[in-house]
Order: sequence, then C-alpha cells, then structure tokens
Amino acid sequence: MLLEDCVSTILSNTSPLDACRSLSVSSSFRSAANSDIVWERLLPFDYEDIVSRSVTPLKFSSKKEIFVCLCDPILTDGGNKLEKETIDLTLQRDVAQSQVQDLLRLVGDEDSMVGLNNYPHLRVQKSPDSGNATSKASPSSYPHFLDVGVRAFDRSLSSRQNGALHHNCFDG
Amino acid sequence: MSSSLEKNMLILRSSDGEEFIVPEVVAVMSKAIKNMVEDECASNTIPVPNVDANILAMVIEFCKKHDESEAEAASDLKTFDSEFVNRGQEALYDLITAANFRDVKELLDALCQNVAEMIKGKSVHHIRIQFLGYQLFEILTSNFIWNIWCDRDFD
Repeated sequence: MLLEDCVSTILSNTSPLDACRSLSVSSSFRSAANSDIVWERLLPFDYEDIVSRSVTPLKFSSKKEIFVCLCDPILTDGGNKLEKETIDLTLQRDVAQSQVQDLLRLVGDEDSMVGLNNYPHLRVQKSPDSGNATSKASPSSYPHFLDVGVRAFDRSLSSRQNGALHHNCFDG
Repeated sequence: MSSSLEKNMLILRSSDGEEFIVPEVVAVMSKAIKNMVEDECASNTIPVPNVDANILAMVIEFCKKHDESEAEAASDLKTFDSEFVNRGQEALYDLITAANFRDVKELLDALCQNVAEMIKGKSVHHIRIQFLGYQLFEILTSNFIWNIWCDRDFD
C-alpha cells in the first residue's frame, strides 16, 4: 500500500472536487486528502497575500480551511477595492442613463405624437384573445402610464429646449 | 580501473542483492543518495534497501534518460515520461514508493501526475477498487474475514 505522503502528492495533482471525493475512500485516504501537501497545491499561488489583505481576519487551522474560507467572497485592502468598483459602476450607470435620456429626447423630437396615440390602440387590438381581464385592464392602465411619460418629456424639454417645441408637445 | 570507478561510478545494491554500476551524476538524482555521497558516508557500494532489482533498474533507466537529455527538447522528455509511467498498477505503486523513499523528484512528479489522471473524476467505488483492489482480494479469500470487512473502514 502507498504511503500517506505519496497519496497526498497524487491527490495534489487532481482537483479540489476529486480531493474531497477521496475523503470517503478510506481512513488513510481521508488523512491524506486533508493534509497540507494537497491543499497547498490546490490553493491559488498568492493565497498568503490574499489572506493577509483580508479585512476580517480569517480563522483557519489548516490549508484546507483556508481554501474553504476563500470559497466565500472576502473584502480585501481595507474595503477600498469594493468602494472603487462601486464608483466605477455608478459612473457606468450614469452614462447609460444619460444615453437613454438622449434617446428619449430624440424620439420626442421626431414622432412623439404618433407613438403616443397609436400605442394603446395597438395593444388592445392585439390582446382580445387573451381574455377579458387584460383587455379591460389595458385601456385604464396605459393612458395613465403614458400620462406620466408625457409629463416627464415636457419637463425635460421645457427646461432645456426653446419655447416652440414646448408648445408643440403640449398641444398634441 | 578501481580508481576510475571510485571517481565517477557508484555501485547500487538492490534489496535482493543485485548490483548496478551507475555514473555518479545519475545516482545523485536521488536526493537520499546525494546526501550520502556528500557526507562521504558511502563507500563504492551503496545499499538501496526496500527496492528490488526490477524496480531499481527502472528507476536507473529513468534517471539516465533525464541526465542525458537535459539539453534535449522538453517535448522528447515528456514523451519518454508518459511512456515510462505507462505500467501496471503494482509496478507503478512500487515505483512511487521507491521514488518517494529515495527522493527522486522528477520521477515522483511524473508518476503521481499519471496516477492522478487515473482518479480524476472517478467515483469513490472506482478509487477503492483501484487503490485497495489488491488488498481486498487477499481479504476476500477468507469468508470469515469477509463478514468483518463489510463493517470495517476500508484501510
């Protein structure tokens, strides 16, 4: 039979899944699979650096427990990394929102009236088969929804665009 | 002749008494032998207990090839390694034990990598049969022990 060290070296060449599976092969396999030889190799090469940068100190007594700790997300570098990512994400969101607003303004310029008048009508025509509840609900809910949309358009237009366009929207 | 033998060659004696004349550079690929040579506690003949002639010959073949082809292309060495480790279970385990005991790192790495490929993604049952099959056979020949075996931890 192979020595425990040899079994550990073999298991270190497999994957974490295989190492965990071999825990239930036999008691000698269990101690071989729990050894630091195996998990040292399965951990990322800079795991010591990661552990030392963690905000909350990790509790572990073996390399295997470090692996388990690192399976969950941890905050590193005093949490600054996450803050920076949050700022990046917020910036991206703002850019996306302003692009959507530009797009809405463009649509409002060209054929806002046509779209607003036709949309609820189309919706009702499409859905008679799907039952009474939806066809009754849609006329009541859609004009309301569109009202909000029109008001939002007007406000943004009135603050930024000239009076002529503003009146045009209101008259429609 | 004996002086040249002393300088560059070593004699390794296997557990069953067979002797192999090996260049020193090849023999010291085993860290255990290297330590013995450096400490000058070894005479010409170095006993290699626990390793029989058959296995020792294989280990020497491997070390010779690695010593010769140090400058050669790594791909050639890889092909040799994969062919070398392609052996039956029993020889494989004996080789691993020998490589571990004599501390031949290259050989141990190649062998362990090979066995690892065998158990990757395999079920517990499969690994049991592969690693403990020989032992189980011995136990199963006795019906009396069979009953005990059913409850015991596979060890």
